[in-house]
Amino acid sequence: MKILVFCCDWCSYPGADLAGILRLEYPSEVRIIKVMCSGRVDLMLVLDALRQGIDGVMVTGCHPGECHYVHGNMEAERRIELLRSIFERSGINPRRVRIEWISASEGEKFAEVTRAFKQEIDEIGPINQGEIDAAEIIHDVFSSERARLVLGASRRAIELEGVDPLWYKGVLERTVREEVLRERILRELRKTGALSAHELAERIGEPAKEIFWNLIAMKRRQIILDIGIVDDSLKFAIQEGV
Amino acid sequence: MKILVFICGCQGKIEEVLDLDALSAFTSTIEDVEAVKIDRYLCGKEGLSLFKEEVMRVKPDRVIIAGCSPRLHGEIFAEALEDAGMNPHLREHVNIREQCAWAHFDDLDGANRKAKKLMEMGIAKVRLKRPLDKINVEMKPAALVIGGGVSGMEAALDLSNGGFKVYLVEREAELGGRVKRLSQTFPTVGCGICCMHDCPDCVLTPQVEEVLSDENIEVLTSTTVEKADGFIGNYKVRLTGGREIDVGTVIIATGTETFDPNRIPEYSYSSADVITSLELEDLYMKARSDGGQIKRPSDGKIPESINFIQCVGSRGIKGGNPYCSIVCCIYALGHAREFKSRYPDAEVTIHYIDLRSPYRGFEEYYNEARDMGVNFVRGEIDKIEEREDGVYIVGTNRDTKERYEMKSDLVVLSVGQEPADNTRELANLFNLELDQDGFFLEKNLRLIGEDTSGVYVAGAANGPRNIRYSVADGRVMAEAAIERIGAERILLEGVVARIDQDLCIKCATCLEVCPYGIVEIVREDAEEVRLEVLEGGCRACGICAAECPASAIQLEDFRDDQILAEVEVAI
Repeated sequence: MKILVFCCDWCSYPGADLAGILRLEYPSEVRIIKVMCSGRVDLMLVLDALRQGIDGVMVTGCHPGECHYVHGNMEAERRIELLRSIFERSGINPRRVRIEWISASEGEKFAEVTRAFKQEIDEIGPINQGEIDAAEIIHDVFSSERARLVLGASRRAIELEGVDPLWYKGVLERTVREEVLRERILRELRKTGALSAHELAERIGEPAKEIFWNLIAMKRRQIILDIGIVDDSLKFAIQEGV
Repeated sequence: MKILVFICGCQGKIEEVLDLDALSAFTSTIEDVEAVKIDRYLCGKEGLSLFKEEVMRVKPDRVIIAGCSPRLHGEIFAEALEDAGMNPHLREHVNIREQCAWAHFDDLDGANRKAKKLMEMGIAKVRLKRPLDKINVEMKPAALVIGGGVSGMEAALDLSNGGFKVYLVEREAELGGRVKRLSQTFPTVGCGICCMHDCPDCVLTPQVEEVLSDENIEVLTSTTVEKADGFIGNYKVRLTGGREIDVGTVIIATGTETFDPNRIPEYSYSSADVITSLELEDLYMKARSDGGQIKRPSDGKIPESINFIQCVGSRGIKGGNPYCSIVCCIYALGHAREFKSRYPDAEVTIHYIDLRSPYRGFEEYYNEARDMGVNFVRGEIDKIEEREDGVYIVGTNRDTKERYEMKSDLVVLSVGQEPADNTRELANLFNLELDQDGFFLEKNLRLIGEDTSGVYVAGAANGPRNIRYSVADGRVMAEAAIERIGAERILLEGVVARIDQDLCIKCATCLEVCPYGIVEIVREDAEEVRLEVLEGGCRACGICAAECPASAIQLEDFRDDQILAEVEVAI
């Protein structure tokens, strides 16, 4: 099993060091990547790891309220929670990603949570091709501007403007789901050339109506164009240069 | 590219788990690795000189140090590289000790396999490192001290001596803080550094006088802080009344509040003759100008019995704060002794749970109190009741578990300390962290020299302190600030976030997510607007890099491509 753990410089990395100093064993498969703050962990990095075949990614940071960078850990938590709820509907086991708070004095906790995570990943097994493909699509979504804009505005909306966090979470999830659908549409169109909403619905397994609305939105943004009615249905193709 | 790799055996502590020769042989086969050196004690004097010699001889483009955690000796090797004429950012530490040999000591195969992987990851990352220049930040030799108590005043005096212009802000109308309200300090009793008693026979209060007569210190009473922007060496602070000051450093010395006994209804604090220790101080003060007699509030009678209740609001008793407030045992002892010596026939009793009198002189002080005839009862008070014939204390003896009742002319609640009411507000203004009890999170004193905020917390704002340690704290923090800011300029590590102007879509998300608000909107002219990171204020968290919608921000040393390169070989 391949397990990646992101550790922050101030709490969880020294926490991992302490696990070693206390000779508390944890699985040797664990690979630690040091960042300054858990808030540095871009979802794109997590998704990149999964699409490359890593079986589980854990982001670790300082306890809430103790982040060396005030709120970096909360941003990390918001992102990982979003990812888990996206995974639930995308065929990726959401247990492959998790977030944990480990202080610099919690060597024991570091060993415990990495052991538990390894056990969990053992239970769900290695990442399969379907999950890797889905991670690839979500990776592309989180590398693109729209999803990132809505995610990036979370803090302003919730903390500064007082928007209901649950409502905003809904907006975020909807946006990402939509972008995932559009990414899948693009992939089908790239493969086949031109397709109608019904043909896409069949291939993707989502309702034709929803696909049609997204096709219209994508057309408006000049990502795709309609090439007119062929065989009694309106067909769409990728805009040149996209 | 030439990569020079050092592997440290840590005097056998790594070698006993890892086969360093095999690791070295494996490492030599990795592309770009010029040479691999194994040393048994690389951080020692001889090891370090070997390290420098090798770097100067091989002239590598990158250096790998495989050994202990970079958190332990990272700095030593950074300095050694600089000595050897190399940019310290062109190195990477491979943690084969804490995170490999020691954590997997019982899994030799796994540990040795992991060491090789860690080496590959380190080499993948170091290849993509760039030389970074240090960032030069100008420092304003001015300081803001918030809080005019003993700790804040001490810090102000020290900063002034260090050549700083000091603004000392106090929200009350006069300097002095908590200590000003105390009638005596225990166990020294004399007029020490903090004697500030407004007594008629001693008008001068030395520390206050010194502060007021210091030309470098501007005292601003009845003033608070409204807004703060900036970063180390360069803070712009707005005070009430609209005045703006520019300072290089800020020392917060806002002290504590005392616990409000109304939060424990069973203690009948609303009764006239149930008072807090601070109100007892007021009675002592009043006595000085009122014939010298201590009179109880209800009817002005001199109490014949006085009972002190310890741990009110401390140590988790009756839902109080979980911690010990440190000062209550000693001040109760002091008050009890004082009362007993004035009125030898009075019944003076202290109800305690554990009597704590650390520090030299304090235990003796306690023993003397016993000799003087002060009564001590190890009991937890269940309730204090006002009955028709007076106030009664009902408690349970901790040792015998028996209930007891005592009538008392005056009851003194020894209230503990808790965070001042503006603590969170100040923490938000200056981006400070709070601990689980709501005090400012104490910084590690050993690391205070590397602090990059320029904001220090002194005295009881860090948690309960007695006077002596509050004063000492004021000094320590002032010295730390003088050392850091006093040099007019400092060089910060070059690890900062940078915005790629070609990719930036000017959405200002970075400005919203930056914990320190140090992203600046720069207007060149009507057309041209840019977002820029104020380098001196960037503390390298990388939150903006992760949130940037256009992926236009990269944090040096932790760039996307560097992390991805590590991930790629981690598999």
